[in-house]
Amino acid sequence: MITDDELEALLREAGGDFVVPTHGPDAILAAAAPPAKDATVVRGRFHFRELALAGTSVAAVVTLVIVLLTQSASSPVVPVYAGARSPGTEASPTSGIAATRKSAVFSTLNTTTQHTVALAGRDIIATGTLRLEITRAALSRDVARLDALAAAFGGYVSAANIAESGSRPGGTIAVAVPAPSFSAFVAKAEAIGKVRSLSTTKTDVTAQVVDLGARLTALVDERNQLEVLLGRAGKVSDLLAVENEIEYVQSQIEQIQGEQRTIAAQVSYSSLRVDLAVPGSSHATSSPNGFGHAWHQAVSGFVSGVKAFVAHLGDLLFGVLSFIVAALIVFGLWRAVWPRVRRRIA
Amino acid sequence: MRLTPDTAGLEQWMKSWYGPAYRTACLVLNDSAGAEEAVQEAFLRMWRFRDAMPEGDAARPWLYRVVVNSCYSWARKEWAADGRRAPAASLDSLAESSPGPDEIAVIGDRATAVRAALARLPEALRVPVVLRYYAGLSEKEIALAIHRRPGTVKSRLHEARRLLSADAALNALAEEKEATR
Repeated sequence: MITDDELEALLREAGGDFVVPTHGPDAILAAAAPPAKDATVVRGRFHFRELALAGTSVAAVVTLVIVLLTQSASSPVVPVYAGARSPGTEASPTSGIAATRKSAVFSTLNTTTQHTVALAGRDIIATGTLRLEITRAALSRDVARLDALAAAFGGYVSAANIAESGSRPGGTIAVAVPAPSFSAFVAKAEAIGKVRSLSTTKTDVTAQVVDLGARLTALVDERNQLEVLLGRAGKVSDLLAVENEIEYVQSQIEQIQGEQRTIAAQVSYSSLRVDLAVPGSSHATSSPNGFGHAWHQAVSGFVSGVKAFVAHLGDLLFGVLSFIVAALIVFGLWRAVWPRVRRRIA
Repeated sequence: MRLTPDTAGLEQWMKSWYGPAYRTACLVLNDSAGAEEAVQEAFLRMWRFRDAMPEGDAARPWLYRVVVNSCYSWARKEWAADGRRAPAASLDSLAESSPGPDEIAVIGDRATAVRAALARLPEALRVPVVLRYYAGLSEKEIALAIHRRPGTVKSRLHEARRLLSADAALNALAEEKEATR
C-alpha cells in the first residue's frame, strides 16, 4: 500500500507542476478594490431606491389602514343623510357608499326614537320634500290644514305659492317646524293627502359649529389684546393703526356670529317643502299605466344603473389599489431582503 | 502569517496564498482554467466576508474550505452545463481505467499521471487527499475545511489511500520516486 510520504511527494510534485497565473492576484485585487466614486453613488442610489420603495409601501399601507379606520369610526355618526321614500314602501337607500352608511345607521327610519338617538348630541340641519296628491276641491282646505299643523307644532309657513284655479291648480308650501318635532310633523303632513314621494336630508354641521366657535374665541381674544394695545398707544398713528385692526377683527367677529345665528336657526327649525298636486294638472304625477310612466321608469332605471356602476367602480378601484399596495409591499420586501439572502447563499 | 486581511495588507495576503490555493484547486478540479475561476471567486468571497474570517489556527482551514466550496460550485456548474459526471468510485472501474507503466512511460509525465489518478477518485475522497497530502492540513483541519467529523475524514483518507494503492500506475511512480531518493 502506498505510504503517506510517497503520496505527499507525488502530490506536491503534481501540484507544483501547475503554473500559477501571474495575473490571478491582480485580477482579484482589481475586483476586490474599493468601488469607484461613481459605483458608490450607484450603490447608494440602489439602497435609496429600495428604502424609498419600502417607505412608500409602508406609507401606502398606513394610509389605507387610517382610511379604513376613519371610515369605520365615522360611520355611526353620518354627517349627511339623504333618504327617499315612495308611497307604500319603506325607506329605500339610494345607492353606493352613502346608501351603505345610511342603512347602517338609519335602517329603521320609520322609528323616530332610534332616529333621534343616532343623532343625539350633534347639530343637525334637517330638510325634506313631501309631494302630496290632493283633490282640487280640497286644495284650500289642505293648505289651511298645513298652516294649522305647522302652528300646532310650534312652527310656521315660511313661504307659499298656491294656485287654486286655472289649468295648473296646486303649489308649494315651505314650512319651518322645531327640529325635535320634524319627524312628527312629517308624519302628520303625510296624512293630509296621498303621498307621492317623500325625501329627507339631514346634514351634520357639528364640525362647522365647533370650527366657528373656535374662530370666534380666537378673534375675541385678538380683539381684547388689541384693545389693551390701544390703551398703550402713544402716537396718533399707532392709535389709528390699532383702531383699524380692531375694526377689521370686529367685522370678522360679527360675520362669524351671523353664521352661527343662521346655523342655529337652521338647526333649531327644520324645513319641509310640501308640493301639492292635483291629478290631471301639470303638478300631478303622470299616470302609472301611461307611456310617460314607462319613460320615467326607464330613466330611473338608467340612473340607478349608472349609480350602481359608479358604486361598484368604487369597489373595483379599491380592489385594484389594494392589489397595487400589496404588490408594492411584496416587491419592496423582495428587493430589500433578496440581496442579503443571495449573499448568504453565496 | 495572520490571514485576516485588511485593505492595506490585502495585496500581500493575496499573493501569499494565491499560489497554494490555486494549485489545490487544480488538483481538486484537474482543470487549470476552472481552478483559476474558482480561486478568484473564493478570494472574492473571503474578501466580502473578511469580517467573519477566523484568526489563528482556524484561518487556514477556513481558507481552504472557501476554496473547496468554490471548486464544488464551479464543478456543479460545469457538470450541469456539459453533462459531465464525477468519476466513478468503484475500485474495479479505477483498475480498468488505470494506465499501465508502459503507457505512463509514453506520456512521460509523472505529474499528469498523478493528476489522472486523482481525477479517478470520487470527489468526496479526492478533496481530503489533496488537502492532506498537498496542502498539508491535519485531519482535524480537513474536518473543519470540509465540514465533516474528523472520523469521517480519517475513513475517507484511508479509503482514498486504498484506492490509490490499487492504482498500478501510481504505485509504479511511487516506487520509481523512492528508488531515485
